[in-house]
Amino acid sequence: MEDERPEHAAASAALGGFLMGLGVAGIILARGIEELGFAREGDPGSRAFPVALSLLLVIAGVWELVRWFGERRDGASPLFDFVAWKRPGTRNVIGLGASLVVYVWLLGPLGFASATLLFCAPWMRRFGSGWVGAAAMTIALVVGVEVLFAGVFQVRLPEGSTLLAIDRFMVNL
Amino acid sequence: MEGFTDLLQPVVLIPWILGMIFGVFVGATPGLTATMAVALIVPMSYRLDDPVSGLAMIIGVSFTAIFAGDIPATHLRIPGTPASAAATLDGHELAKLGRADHALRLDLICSAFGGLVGVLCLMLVAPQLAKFALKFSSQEYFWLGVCGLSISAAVSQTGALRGAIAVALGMALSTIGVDDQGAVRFTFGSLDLYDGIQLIPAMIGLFGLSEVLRFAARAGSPGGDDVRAPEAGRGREAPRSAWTTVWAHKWTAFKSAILGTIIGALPGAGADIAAWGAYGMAQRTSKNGNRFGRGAEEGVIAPTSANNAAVGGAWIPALVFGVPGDAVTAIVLGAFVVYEIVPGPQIFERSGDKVSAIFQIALVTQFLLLGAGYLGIKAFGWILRLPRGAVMAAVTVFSVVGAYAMRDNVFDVWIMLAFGILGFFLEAKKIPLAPLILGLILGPMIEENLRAGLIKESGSIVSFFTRPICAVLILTLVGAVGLKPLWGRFARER
Repeated sequence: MEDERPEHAAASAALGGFLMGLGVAGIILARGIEELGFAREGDPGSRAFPVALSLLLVIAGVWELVRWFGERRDGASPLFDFVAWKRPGTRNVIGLGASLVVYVWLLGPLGFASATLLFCAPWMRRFGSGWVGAAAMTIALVVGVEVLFAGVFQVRLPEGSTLLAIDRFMVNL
Repeated sequence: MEGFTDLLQPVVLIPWILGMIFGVFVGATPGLTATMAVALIVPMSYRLDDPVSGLAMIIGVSFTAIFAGDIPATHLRIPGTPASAAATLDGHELAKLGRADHALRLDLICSAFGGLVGVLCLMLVAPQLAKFALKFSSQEYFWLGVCGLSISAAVSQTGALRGAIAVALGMALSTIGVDDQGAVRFTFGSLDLYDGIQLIPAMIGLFGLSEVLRFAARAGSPGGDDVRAPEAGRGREAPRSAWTTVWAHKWTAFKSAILGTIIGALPGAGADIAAWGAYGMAQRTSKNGNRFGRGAEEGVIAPTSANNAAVGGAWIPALVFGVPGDAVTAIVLGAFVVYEIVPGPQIFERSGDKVSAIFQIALVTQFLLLGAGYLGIKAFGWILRLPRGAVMAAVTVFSVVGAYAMRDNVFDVWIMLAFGILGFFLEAKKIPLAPLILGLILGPMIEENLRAGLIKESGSIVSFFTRPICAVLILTLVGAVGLKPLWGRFARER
């Protein structure tokens, strides 16, 4: 519910570290931006804006960390919440995030249909469907997307370099 | 675009209606948002041969999904979109009295009416504002961008500081790519990043994939993703009674729609604030103010008239200045650019026929909404019975294919994935995503106009404060941010 949210969220060391890291990286990387020779009088240049924003991120990160240290003294917001890492929800997110990376990586070698079958069926099973139901729903999903995007919208979905190579090999045989 | 009859051709009408049904489905599914619906439909719309069909699809979804968010809000007290939160209070109370269908019919009629008022205001005001906007120079555009970002940060529910962090992050990410002077920034040698971060894959990630990750997180917690069945209705009312009720409260609906349009037109303020503002106004001016929050019909009429009116209102600064009011408008604006509709004061001269088509589509959409919305009300029980894991798997696959389909490029899928993970992390830390998107869109506009203004004045910043329109914009900014406690009060008082 919108009206049940806290007005000010608790400080987070992870957020502070993320912002500070991003800001510092921005400042360092901005040194590599090449200012072009035809810059005109009064132009702050191409580096100025990224550096200013990176500085803002560093300040926000430091502020968040200072707040976190303050709240930590009251016993809140531990740096590493080991209990949270053991929760099924956290494990789900890490597992899903990792399998998404593998899924997108597999789109190239295996193609859309095979990669999607490998990704979706286990996750549907994990979220409560039986193996048969998960497999059936995944196949229906793949067929539906193929018909909609490849058939109707003429999108050339990834076909899979490995599968194409195997296909060519079999034809040559 | 020649006229209304062209809109009624099957080539336009079929994708339009299918898009609206998709909007109803996504908006009415608890946990899926209107922003996600629009982000997922855009890649499909690009593939249609007729640009008018694509525009109809996008516009249809943007209005329908906002209404559909009210369906789970009324039945389950789970707002489908932030814009539905205000309607939850009395809508759900009516549902508990066995009048859920009546509340939703009121909601539907008022959403269509509010949308109609918003679009008519857009049609009347935008051309006049565009003429006035010809007087704007770099300095004024700089302040417009700053106004939009400041207001969106200030009205963030998790606090202005969190909103400001989101804005800064969005602006920082917007510096990736080749800038207007030709300098290459943060591309790490990747040609795919020369054009900067592609907005649509980024938005699909932020609003689509991040929701899947949130579902995964909730699915592991005890009772985390349980969605209750709708409260059983104790009585059936004739559909006509909703029309009679709205007619009895026509002035509440009208005033709310006008207020919604005005708030929607403020750069950075969105449909959620419009809905809360209208609810507060209706409660204060109603004879039955004490019944609000306990199932008052006016408590449904006011916010639902305002939130759809705000969609039309938000298009005023979006089309005339290129400053979107909220995340939904930001995506729609990004889609318009691909259709070669370049926002700005000259939009009516350069893309007059397409803008005319947009107006006509938006008008007709309000009438089609009555049918699509009624379907959504009736189909809600069925939507709720779908296995959530399967729905989320479908959202994941559509996110992947949608991001890929923009340019047939797997790199965009990686961008979508990165933004999905980023969106999940940021929302877990109470960083709002809408200001981040606005920062991503308005960042280049602010930088380019700041640099252009400084070059014109040989490095002097004085003109940014002394030009008359700049002064008005600065005063508006100070006023709007100063009124922030009032925005917050509308939400918290409830």
